[in-house]
Amino acid sequence: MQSDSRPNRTFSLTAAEREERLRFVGFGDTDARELKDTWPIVEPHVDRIVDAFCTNLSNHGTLLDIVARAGSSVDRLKAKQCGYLAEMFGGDYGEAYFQHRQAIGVVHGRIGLGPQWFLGGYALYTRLIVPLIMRHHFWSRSRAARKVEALNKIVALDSQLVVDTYVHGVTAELSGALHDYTAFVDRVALGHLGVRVDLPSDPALAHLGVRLNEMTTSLREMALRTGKAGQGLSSVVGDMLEAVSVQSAATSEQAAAINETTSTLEEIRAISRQTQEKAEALGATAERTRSEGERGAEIVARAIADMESVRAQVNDIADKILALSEQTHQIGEITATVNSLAQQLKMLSLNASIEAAKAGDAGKGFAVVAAEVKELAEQSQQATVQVNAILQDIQRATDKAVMVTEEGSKGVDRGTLLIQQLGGSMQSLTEAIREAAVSSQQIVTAVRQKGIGIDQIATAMREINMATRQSVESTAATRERAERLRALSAEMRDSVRIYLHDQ
Amino acid sequence: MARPNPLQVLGDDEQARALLERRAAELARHAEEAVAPVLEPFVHFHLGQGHEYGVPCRWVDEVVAVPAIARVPGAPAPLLGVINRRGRMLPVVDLRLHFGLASDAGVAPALHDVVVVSAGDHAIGLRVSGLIGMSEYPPDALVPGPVEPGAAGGSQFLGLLPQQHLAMLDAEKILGDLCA
Repeated sequence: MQSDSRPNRTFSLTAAEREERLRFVGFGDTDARELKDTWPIVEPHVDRIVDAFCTNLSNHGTLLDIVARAGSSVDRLKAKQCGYLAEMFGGDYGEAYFQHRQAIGVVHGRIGLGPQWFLGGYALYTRLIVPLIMRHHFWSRSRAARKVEALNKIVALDSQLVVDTYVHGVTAELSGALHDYTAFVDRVALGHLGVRVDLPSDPALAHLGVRLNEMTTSLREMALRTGKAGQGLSSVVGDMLEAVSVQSAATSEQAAAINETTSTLEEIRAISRQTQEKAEALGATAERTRSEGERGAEIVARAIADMESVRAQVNDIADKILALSEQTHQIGEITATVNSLAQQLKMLSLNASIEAAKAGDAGKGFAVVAAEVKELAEQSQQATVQVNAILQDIQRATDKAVMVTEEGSKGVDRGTLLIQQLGGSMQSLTEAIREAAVSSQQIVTAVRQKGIGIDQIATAMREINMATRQSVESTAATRERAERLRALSAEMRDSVRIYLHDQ
Repeated sequence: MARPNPLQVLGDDEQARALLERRAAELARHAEEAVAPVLEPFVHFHLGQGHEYGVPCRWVDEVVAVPAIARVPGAPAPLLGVINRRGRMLPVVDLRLHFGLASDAGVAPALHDVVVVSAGDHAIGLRVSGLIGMSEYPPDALVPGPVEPGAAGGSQFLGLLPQQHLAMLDAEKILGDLCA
């Protein structure tokens, strides 16, 4: 891009500057005269000199390319060189001379002809012209020397000017490009990522421009991506904040729950201590119960022995009652015999009475005896009846006694069985009590261990509580950081937004 | 006196002794009183419940209690069988059946009471339900009983003793009937 502010390739020199430059190379009026005097010497050879120049030129393809690219030709170059040489020996080295020479420098700069070439040209001219001077003043070496000196001075001035102009031109071009690029970069900096820089002719600068354009494109893409990323980041940070809020709430709840758990645990610990005391009391009671149970077992064993002896006695009683019953039977038989005897006696007395009655008065005394005998027989019969009744009573009583004894025996059997069962139960009970005692010991141990475990849990709970508090704090910190991150992402989006407003 | 008193067996029971002596005295007095009116002794027994009979002692040989009566095949119903009486066979008649009453032989006790009566050359055993004992009656106290039907040769009863509610049997007549 061209700008009006862009500096010109040419530059003007003030009279003082011109004077200073001339003075610096030691060029004075003498030199100007000497050069004017030299022209007639050089003029006849101008064509040859220019030809030689062009020949030398054509030996270097690069130079021909430059000439062709500049839209010029060798012929035009020759004409220019002729003019140039004529002016060099013109004798007038004022403002016009300086301007012409600067113009040459501008042209050189424009067509890309570097100082290495045209300084070489000066060398060629000097090489060709000095011999002409030397030959002309073959006899006057001092005059020749003056002319050569003047030539050297003007060549130095010319080359100085050309180089100066060239350098100025190059510098001007560079500063122009720099100006363009600065403006471009300023616009880019303002966020106009759509703009592209115009490429200058200088390949290196053009390369830089291309790179700048590429960079802008990349920057634009990056800005787009950054914008999108910023948006994504914003939403992510929003989510994260929400999550952190939720987590914060959850952590608070958790902390509250853990606090509650801790206090509950303290209660449990107290209860556990009570339980331990109770378990120890239980253990003591179980031990007492055990000794009681063993005494109970002994008592049961004694009761079984007693029962056995009772059974033996009952059996004895039963045997005796059976014997009594048998004896009663025997007595019954005896009374039956007595009864029968009484019957017979009665019959006998009756017969005696009959005989006595038949005997009349003689049998009267006998009749009395017979009556007495009959009476006795009847009495003994009655006695046997009574005995029989008593015997029957005894029989009934013994029968009942036998039954009762049998029942008693059965009862004793049942009692023995019961006591044996009781003994078994007592045994099992003692076993159970012993086991219970052992169990209660184990319970005491377990409860003690549990107490220790609960203490450990309580400690762990306290640590958890602390950790939860830290977690709450760190959640708060996370939240704070997330807030900051959100601010940062917002900031980032803002910063990117200026690059996007012309999208 | 060398022989001991037979009442000595009763021991020294004063009450019993007093009772026996009183009874002995009464019996002795009875005997003295019986001298004036002539009393006929008889064997007192019953047939079944409430029917009391008597047989005057002049026909009674003895009373026996026998455990068994051997039955005689083909004998008429009132003839229960025979018993061994001191080596001689004695026919025994069930007096209840003879009088047309139901026999109680089926429920008879272990011993059968038999009253042995005799008249002339004939002797027979009368099985009775139970002997009561021996008693006496005045013969003039007898009243004639009702004439039983079917009694061809006159009544088998001497008469009735209304006060004692018993019938006195005529053993000779019964023997005559049975042995005819």
